[in-house]
Amino acid sequence: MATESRPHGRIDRVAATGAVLALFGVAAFPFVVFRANRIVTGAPTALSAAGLAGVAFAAFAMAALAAAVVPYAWPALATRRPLALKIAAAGMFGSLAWAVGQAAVHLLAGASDIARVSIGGGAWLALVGAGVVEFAADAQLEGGWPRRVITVIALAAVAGAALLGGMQDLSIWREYLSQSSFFWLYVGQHLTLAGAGLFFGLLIGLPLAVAATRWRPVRDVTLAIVGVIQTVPSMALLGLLVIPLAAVGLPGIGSLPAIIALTLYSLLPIVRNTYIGLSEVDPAVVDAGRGMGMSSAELLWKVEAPLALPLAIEGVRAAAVLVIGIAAITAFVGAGGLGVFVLLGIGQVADDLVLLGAVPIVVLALLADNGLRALAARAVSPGLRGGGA
Amino acid sequence: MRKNWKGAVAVFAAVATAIVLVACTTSGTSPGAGTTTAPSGKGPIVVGSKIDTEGSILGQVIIQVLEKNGFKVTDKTRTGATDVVRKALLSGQIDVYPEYTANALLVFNKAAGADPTVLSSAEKTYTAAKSSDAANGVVWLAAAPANNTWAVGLPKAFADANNIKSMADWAAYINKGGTVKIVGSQEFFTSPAAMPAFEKAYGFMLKTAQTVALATGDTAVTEKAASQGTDGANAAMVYGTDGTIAALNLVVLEDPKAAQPVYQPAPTVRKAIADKYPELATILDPVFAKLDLTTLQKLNGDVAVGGKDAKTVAGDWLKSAGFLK
Repeated sequence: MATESRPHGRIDRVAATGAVLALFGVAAFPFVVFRANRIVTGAPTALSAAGLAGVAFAAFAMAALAAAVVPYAWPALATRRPLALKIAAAGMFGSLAWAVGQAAVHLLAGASDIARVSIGGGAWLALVGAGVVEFAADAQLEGGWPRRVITVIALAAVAGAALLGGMQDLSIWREYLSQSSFFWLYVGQHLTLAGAGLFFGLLIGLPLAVAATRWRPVRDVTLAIVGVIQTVPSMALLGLLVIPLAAVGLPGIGSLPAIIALTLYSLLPIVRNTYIGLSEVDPAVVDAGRGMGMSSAELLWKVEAPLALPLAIEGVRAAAVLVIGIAAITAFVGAGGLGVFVLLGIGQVADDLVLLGAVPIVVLALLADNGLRALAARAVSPGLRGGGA
Repeated sequence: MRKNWKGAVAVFAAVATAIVLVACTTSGTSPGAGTTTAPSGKGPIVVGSKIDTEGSILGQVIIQVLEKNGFKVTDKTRTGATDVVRKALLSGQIDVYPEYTANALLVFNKAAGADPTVLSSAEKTYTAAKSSDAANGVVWLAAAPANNTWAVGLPKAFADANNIKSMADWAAYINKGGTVKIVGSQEFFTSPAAMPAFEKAYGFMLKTAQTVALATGDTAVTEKAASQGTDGANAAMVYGTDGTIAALNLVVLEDPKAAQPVYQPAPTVRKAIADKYPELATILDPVFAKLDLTTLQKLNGDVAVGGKDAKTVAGDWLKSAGFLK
């Protein structure tokens, strides 16, 4: 059931690092921060504020450490390690969600309505540590029902802790509640801005890349220009766009300059990757196509494009992650999006309002990253899988 | 292989079509929450605001009062910084937003603002703002009797220990060689109407090493730095209507010589809209007349310190003041 990718009798260094990081994080840094109101400097609070839930988290982290280290002394236990790590990681995620909620509930009991509890550095490190343990477990544990069952249990534990464990008392959730009428609107605006930038980036970038493979001067000029655009700071680019837009009577504020800027930024990864993908197509394959009597257009669509597709999608992936991040800046020019929360939060020194903008941006970027990775993996033609070409 | 390629193209085409459709329906400056319908269907009026606490609250006040009076309103509040929201008004992307009277003289129509006797008088500033902005097609409705001007805030313990209550006391403390480090915006230290005006009126001079200049004018940042003593700071640029001053244990120094310009918030309206709906003044003027200094400080504090949302805070105040039921 569980297969070994590591030799027996070794310490699993990745998993051990994750467990130690989590334990060190909660020991050395505040687990949560209590504030009398939203903007005063908070009182750092240790994991012990979480009570039993905190004990549970420490226990799961130590279990992960044990699973990583014990097979060093007893190699016979190594075969059990992947499953043990997977269970420990699931326990860490679930108990961590429970512990931050419980800490908030305990600290806010009897405090005034405007008191806040924010997630502290220790809890964030604990989250990273749990993620590392999970990664180590997944690297060793093959698919199959134990893995799926444990994943479902972990998700259920986190969801249960979020709903019942008091996570709704955390400051970031309060920020969400007070901004809920705008939150999904801004998410939609953010996706629209990033999506439109990516769309026009593809519309302009793909033909440019094809032209670059056909004519050398086009290649030199195009690659130089898209490279230079990337070096212009995004704030400066938004400011500079006002001048040409005003010259043609278009507004220098709102969605238009934002989408133009995002389009320009998406060009480099799209053009460069597509160009490399097309230029790395084996000339022998192209010759074979030509020998079959294909026209230039047929060669492009039936031979070159499918072969270049995985690399081109890789470029789209890089562009997508890039524009989702940069779209946060466009709130400066009145384009809306999740950057509004970031700007408001910085202005009010309300860290959790900044997070309310930043965390969804990270989540959107990760979703785009994973989605396009999966698409790129599927786009490799079956004939090329398994390393033929 | 061809099948995969075509599948990807199809997915791309579908996504692209969806994006274009969404982009078409949501184009324009946009941080808004959509349009609300009112029975009689006057409007729509597009309301913008600055991207800060007071802007959000005043924007919501305008929106809710207009809706109550039968207007269709589009919420584009939190449009951007001053230059962005002003451009949005001048280009017709928004119809109304709250602005501060002295800005009309010091930022938008610089020629009109040179006279310090105008800037220290609320009435003269308002009249000058109204007349100088008429040429730009901007109509100023009545201003709130609250002065959101620049001031200096000190940590209460420090002010008490050194017996500093006014700018004159602070100037004497500085001239005696007392330790000072004040955090403010770049503009606060360089704009002739701000710190240089204080220095001239009270006879002191800050050295560059005694100032920390930030790129932005967010007073929550300056106030927090002074209250925590970040980097040795013991004074902060504050605004008169800030709701965070008391929560951070700061006191505001009095300005007995009225060295600072008067910044009263008032709705600014595009002339086309103001002409079409002359009743805007009769609707909004009584509301802004009730927004005095302590009221605005409380509303700002509810949002910035209490963490309530601007919409609720505006609605609750309008109800308590009798403008909404």
